[in-house]
Amino acid sequence: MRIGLQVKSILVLAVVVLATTASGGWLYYAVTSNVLRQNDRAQVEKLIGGLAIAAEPCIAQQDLQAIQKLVKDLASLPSIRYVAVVDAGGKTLASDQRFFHSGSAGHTYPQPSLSYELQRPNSLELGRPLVVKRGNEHVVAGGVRLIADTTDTNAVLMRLHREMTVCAATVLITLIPLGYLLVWRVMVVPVRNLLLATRRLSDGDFSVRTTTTQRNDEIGELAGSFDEMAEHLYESQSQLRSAKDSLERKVIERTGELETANRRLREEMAEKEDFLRAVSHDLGAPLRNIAGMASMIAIKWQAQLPEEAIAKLKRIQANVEVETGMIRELLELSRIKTQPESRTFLDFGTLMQELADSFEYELKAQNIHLEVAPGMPRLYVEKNRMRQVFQNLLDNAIKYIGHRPNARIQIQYERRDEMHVFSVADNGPGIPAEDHERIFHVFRRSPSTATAAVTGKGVGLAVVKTVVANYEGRVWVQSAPGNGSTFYVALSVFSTEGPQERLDESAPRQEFASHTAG
Amino acid sequence: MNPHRAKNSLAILLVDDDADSRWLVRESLLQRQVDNPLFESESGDEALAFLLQRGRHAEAPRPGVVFLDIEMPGMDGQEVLLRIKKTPELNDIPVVMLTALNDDNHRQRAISNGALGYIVKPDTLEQLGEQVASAARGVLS
Repeated sequence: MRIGLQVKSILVLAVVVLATTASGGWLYYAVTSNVLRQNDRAQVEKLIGGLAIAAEPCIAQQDLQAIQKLVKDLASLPSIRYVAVVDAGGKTLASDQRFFHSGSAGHTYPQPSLSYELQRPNSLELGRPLVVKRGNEHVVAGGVRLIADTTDTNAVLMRLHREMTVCAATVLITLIPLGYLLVWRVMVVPVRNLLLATRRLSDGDFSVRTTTTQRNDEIGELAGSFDEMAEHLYESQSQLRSAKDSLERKVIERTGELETANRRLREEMAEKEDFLRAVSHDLGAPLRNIAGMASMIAIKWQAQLPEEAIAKLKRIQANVEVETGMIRELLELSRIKTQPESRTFLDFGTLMQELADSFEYELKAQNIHLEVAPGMPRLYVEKNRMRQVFQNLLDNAIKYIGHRPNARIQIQYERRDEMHVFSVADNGPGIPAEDHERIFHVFRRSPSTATAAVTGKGVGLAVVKTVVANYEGRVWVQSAPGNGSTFYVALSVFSTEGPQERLDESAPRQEFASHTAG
Repeated sequence: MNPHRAKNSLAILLVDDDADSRWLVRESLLQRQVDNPLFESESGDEALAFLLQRGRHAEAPRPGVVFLDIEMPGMDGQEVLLRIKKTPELNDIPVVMLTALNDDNHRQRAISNGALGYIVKPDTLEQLGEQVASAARGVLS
């Protein structure tokens, strides 16, 4: 349960006021009752002293009548309840009692010589010895006893007690609301204002200020530093806001610019692709006619034409075929860039075997030893595009290796961090360092290796590069003249990961783990 | 007697804007002994006029097969195909597309519009001859 400042202050006030009034009242009561009782005692002592002095000669002379008269006189005083004179043996000589029954008249006191004092709730009893001079000796001849009524004093004290209590209660009842009001005005209201202000501040209203007037105490200081803090917050917040606004404006501007640039780029790319396709197609049609007509002439007029003319017609055909091939590949390259194929799981071991089979004739003719390392992966890729990649790499390797002893091509695979890395290594002539970049561009064959024997098309590696780029991958070459070439194809693990493949992989792995554990 | 000779009377209509292409197709067919009468149109309009025996084609025979190019100025091959198939007296004439367009969209459109075949003009004369001749024989026999 939450005990608020108000409740706490009321409790503290009540304790303080109660303690003060109670201790003050008690002190006053104690002092007063002491004084009154002293006063009572002094009067009774005076009376008993007077009685003793008057009774001493009478008891010395054994004047019983005088003693009885003394007793009677004293007993007539309203505040005296009982008066008695006893002899040395403790036997009552004379007594008067207004409140006790007469049976005590013959009462014997065991020690008449004792001087004593007895406080009772409503009475005070004093006893004094009577001393008589016999010869040169003072002898105790008897004693006097006196019981005085102190009921009046007690009544006064009772009233005092009651009045003190009432007074304390009144003070308590009037002071607490007053104190409470004071606490409310001085402490609770400003603290509550501060609290409300803090809440509004924490809700993000940085314009809030405390309404507390200038006060020269801790609360004033607190309010002052709160205002200061709120001011700082307001300033830094407005700075932040303006910074954020300008940032947002900039982001929007930049996004717009980027979008425009992106759109323009996309349009240009689409245009370029259209253009490329149109050019390829339009270039293809007349070329086809040229080849067709040359071939037709050679067939139709074979008998009439000299052998040399027929040979040249065949050359026309061959040249056109090379060019149509290039155009076809350009078209394919353009298609790779714009039209992705559907992906399936492809076992690269199988792919390599199929490629080895398809190149069987060339490999045998050039006596090349092709080696495919075991452990090829299974990836989620465009099957035909991947085939193109390795077909082009193998085609290049076979072409450039030419005829040489111990010709060898090695295909290897390795997982490097987040990449699947394939390599196709040959021990062919190698490529000079300055050509390592350009060979991947369209129609940029390495001039030094573009020998007459190599009828390269100059598109193959560009196709490889384009396909690999679709897999967040990279293609590069390590080579030096005389040391062969190794082409690397790296595909990102993430872009070759199929939807179910993950499940397929995790199941046997768990099985394996449990086996090793057992 | 030529064993490959198709029903003699049936004519072939070749529609192509490119004269060189037409010549190659003609020679290829002749070389493969497909010697049915061959008529040529160099545009879609002319081909439709020939088929409907209009104007100077009043005496034109009804062809047994039409080889139809797609990319032509004016009315293109797809449009010609659509018109042939929508004309009741022509829609039973077999049409084979013969085009340089190796494009799946064009192929599907032509087939769904009623073309009997779609030949992509091959790179070599040899292949062209084989494909056109076998298509002609298949349709005409």
